[in-house]
Amino acid sequence: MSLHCQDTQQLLQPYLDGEFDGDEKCALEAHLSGCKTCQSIAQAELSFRKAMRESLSTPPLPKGFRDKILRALDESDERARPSWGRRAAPLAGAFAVAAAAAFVFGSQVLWPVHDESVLVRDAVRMHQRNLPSEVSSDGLDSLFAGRMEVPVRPPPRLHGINADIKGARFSRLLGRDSAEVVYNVPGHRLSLHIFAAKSKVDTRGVRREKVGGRVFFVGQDRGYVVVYTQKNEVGYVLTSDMQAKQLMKAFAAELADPPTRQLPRHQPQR
Amino acid sequence: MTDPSNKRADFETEALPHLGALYGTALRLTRNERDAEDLVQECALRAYRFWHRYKPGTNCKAWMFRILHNTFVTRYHKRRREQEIALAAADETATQTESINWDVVSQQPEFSDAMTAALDSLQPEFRMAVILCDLHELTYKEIAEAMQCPVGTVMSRLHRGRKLLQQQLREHAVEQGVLRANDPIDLAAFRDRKNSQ
Repeated sequence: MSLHCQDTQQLLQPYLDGEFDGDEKCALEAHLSGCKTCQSIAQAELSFRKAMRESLSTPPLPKGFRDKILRALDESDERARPSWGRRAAPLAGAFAVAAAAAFVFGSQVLWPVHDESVLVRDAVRMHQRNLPSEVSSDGLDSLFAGRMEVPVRPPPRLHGINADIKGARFSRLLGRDSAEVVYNVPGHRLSLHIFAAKSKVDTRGVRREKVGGRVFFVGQDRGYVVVYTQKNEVGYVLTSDMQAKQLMKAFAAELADPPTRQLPRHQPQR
Repeated sequence: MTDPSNKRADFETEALPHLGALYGTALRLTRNERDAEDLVQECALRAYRFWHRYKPGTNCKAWMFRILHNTFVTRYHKRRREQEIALAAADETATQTESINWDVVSQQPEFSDAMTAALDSLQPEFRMAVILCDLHELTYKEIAEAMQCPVGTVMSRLHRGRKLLQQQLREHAVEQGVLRANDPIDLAAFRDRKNSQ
């Protein structure tokens, strides 16, 4: 097989990338050895690759990043460990699980579990991912200022449950942009998504409940409680392993506050 | 299929050493540190969840890149259509063949910044192909698997991506006075010109 310049130049890149062997390689090398033009193009290609490798240094991993990944893996292991609320019990165990749930929640039985609720599934998924915050409570103003469709500043304080704002990030929930605020509540983690709810949120598969004069939608999945409510076309989704009643009560009180009042800042938890 | 009881240890030994390569690539894909961190964390968690699907003895780095690419595409899905349109447009411009000696051009200050900027300006599909091939030395087959496209597509993405990079860096070199417009150089010509100045 003998090659012309045009063929050679077309095959030059895969050749230089080491993709050819046998006949193709021999034919290319035979042409290159006798053709100055193709040789100089090959030389130019090689010099470009070298220049690229030398000028694009690999950036170092951000400080503490590997540890962050290891912690995320720990949490993933933790979640994968079988427990009554986390791993779906096969049919034989279903009744035992139901009984345990009823016992644990007493009068607040959150039953049945609706796997079909998009709202619950999405909220729990985001809560479990526990992605890093972009800012601590001090940076909330600058992070969300003018960048969200809905008012986020100041974020709800949730004093009723001793919540402390841990941080916040831009996020997505139900296919909408949201501001995700993460709180530390003694013994629990709580995340709150705030988003524009001009279009209706799909509340199929969740229970409707009225607490403190406010309508909430409540669901549960994998041991987490998800509570949704809205006010003035702003949607709020709370996800936590706390009790639903407690969350609804605190949040109903929160939204009853005059929205324009300047609220004190919180210190991030160390 | 890996042994489930050693999952964590195997993952840390096989997959985590590639965090640096993943982060570097994510940074070039997302063009900002915050998104790159998010992308790599999500990629690592997905890889861990699907670790049972990794075949020991195969190229783990390529497998991780596949997950990174998938995660990136899913996250930035909205922007994909725009990219495809831009890809079609880029097709027309990246056909020039020249023999520039980049050893000379790359000695100039700011070349590294210009290279980074040029790479960042490429459409993500080109960028990813070039990064995987030129910086991480994956084979075309591995790149095709990582990007879930035919090998032929890898070839054309690489070809166009590199040509577009060269075109931009050539313009930069002309601006810097290292190259004359319409005048491909070699080392001897550059030295001659320098001496005559």
